[in-house]
Amino acid sequence: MTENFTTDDELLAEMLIAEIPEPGPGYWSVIDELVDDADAHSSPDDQRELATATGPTALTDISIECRTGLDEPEPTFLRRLGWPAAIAASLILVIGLVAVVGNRRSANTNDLATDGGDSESALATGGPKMNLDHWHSVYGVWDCTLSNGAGDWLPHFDSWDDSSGIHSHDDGVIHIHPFYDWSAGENAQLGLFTTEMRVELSDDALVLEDGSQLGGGAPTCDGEPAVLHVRHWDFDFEAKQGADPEILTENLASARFENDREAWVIAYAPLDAELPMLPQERFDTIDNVTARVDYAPRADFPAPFDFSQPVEE
Amino acid sequence: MDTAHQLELAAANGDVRAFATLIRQWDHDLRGVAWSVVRSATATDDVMQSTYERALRSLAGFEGGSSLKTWLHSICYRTAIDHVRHESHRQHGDDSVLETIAATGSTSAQALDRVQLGAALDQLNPDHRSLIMMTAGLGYSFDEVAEIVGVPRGTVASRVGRARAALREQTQQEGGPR
Repeated sequence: MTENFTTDDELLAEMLIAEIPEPGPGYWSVIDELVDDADAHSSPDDQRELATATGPTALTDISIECRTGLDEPEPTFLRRLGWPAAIAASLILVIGLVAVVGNRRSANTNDLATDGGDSESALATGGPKMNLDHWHSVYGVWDCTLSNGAGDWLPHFDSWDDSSGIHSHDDGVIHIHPFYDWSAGENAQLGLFTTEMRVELSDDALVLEDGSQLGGGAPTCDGEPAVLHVRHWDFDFEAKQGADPEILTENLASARFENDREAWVIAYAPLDAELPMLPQERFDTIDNVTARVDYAPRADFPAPFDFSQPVEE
Repeated sequence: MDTAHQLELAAANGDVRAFATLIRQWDHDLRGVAWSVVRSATATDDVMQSTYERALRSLAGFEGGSSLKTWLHSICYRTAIDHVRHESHRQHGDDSVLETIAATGSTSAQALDRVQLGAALDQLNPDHRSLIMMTAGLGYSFDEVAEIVGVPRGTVASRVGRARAALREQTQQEGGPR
């Protein structure tokens, strides 16, 4: 039902609907061709290939098997082991993941990531799904040589093109809704975004549209050499709270978008330089375009133990 | 279970033919979303074909986070917005509105109203136009629009308010629908 519209709007509704143009000649024949083509490539192998390319989930694979009615293969030894083996494997996997996450969280995040993000692969989510996910990240580009060496944020990037579905439009937020398999899942990377912004990101320099570049020279800021690097927070609230970022110095363009509401700074500055927080309006923008992450602990949530009381022997 | 629901289930499970049948049923409303953003009959066709191409490519990965219809509307909306961004030299004042009026055989009074409304809508930004179309024209709820556009419901509500105010101002300047 229409919300907050009065009967006066019936005329408006009528006129809006009447405005919608009829399809042009040949419209449906083009769409029928698209459907025929898709139908011709909807064999189990094609479906599996497509799903793999877009970062499949177990559910996707199962649904493909169900929908195509594949013949059940001869049970393997592992399959004959049945549920006990599956449960044991799941437990091992969960324990492993918890260990990895624990190690990552407890690691000193000031340490430079010398593997350029490869260490993230153990934690990698599937990345944004093609034509399904619509994520946003706060971002900024900091150049310590601006403002007479005091440093400043570069203006927002703006896209006139959006071929990949990873772009920004002058709002300080990266919009991530991949259109294709080459820009979805693990392929959703920072380099795709900068390319869409007509900016070239490498480990040596960030080359802007006008040909100017950050990096590639030997400038210093506060007497220390400026280095092109990327600072990354898993969530925008971590950046706002001043949490230590993950710092990348290699494979910058390959840094992956792994969840909604990340925060990114492409910085040309000494690695240990303290940068100002990203401009507040960018956080306001992301609050306006995507659901805020509820990270505040509940005050009424009971602690499992009362540590203020002595333990009874 | 009705036929439409069965079709949607089949399409969500990757049945391309079922999806094609639903496309025929939903095309008019989807065209409304595309048209409200791009404001050109030819561009609307382009957006729709691109929308269906993208949807057919992704159908195997559809996981049911939203309804298939909402999912398709979301692709359509984003494709239309991107089309506008591509078109840096979009022609203003094209004669699509007049063509539509001619095609529907409107009376002169209705035609005049539509011309005025069309002119007023042309002056709005694409976001506002699409919100007016989806809520006032197609009757979608704020929740549905929120899923399509990808913003919280409250944001949709406030944006619709601003869009309606902007349309009211424009129609007063254009003479207004009578």
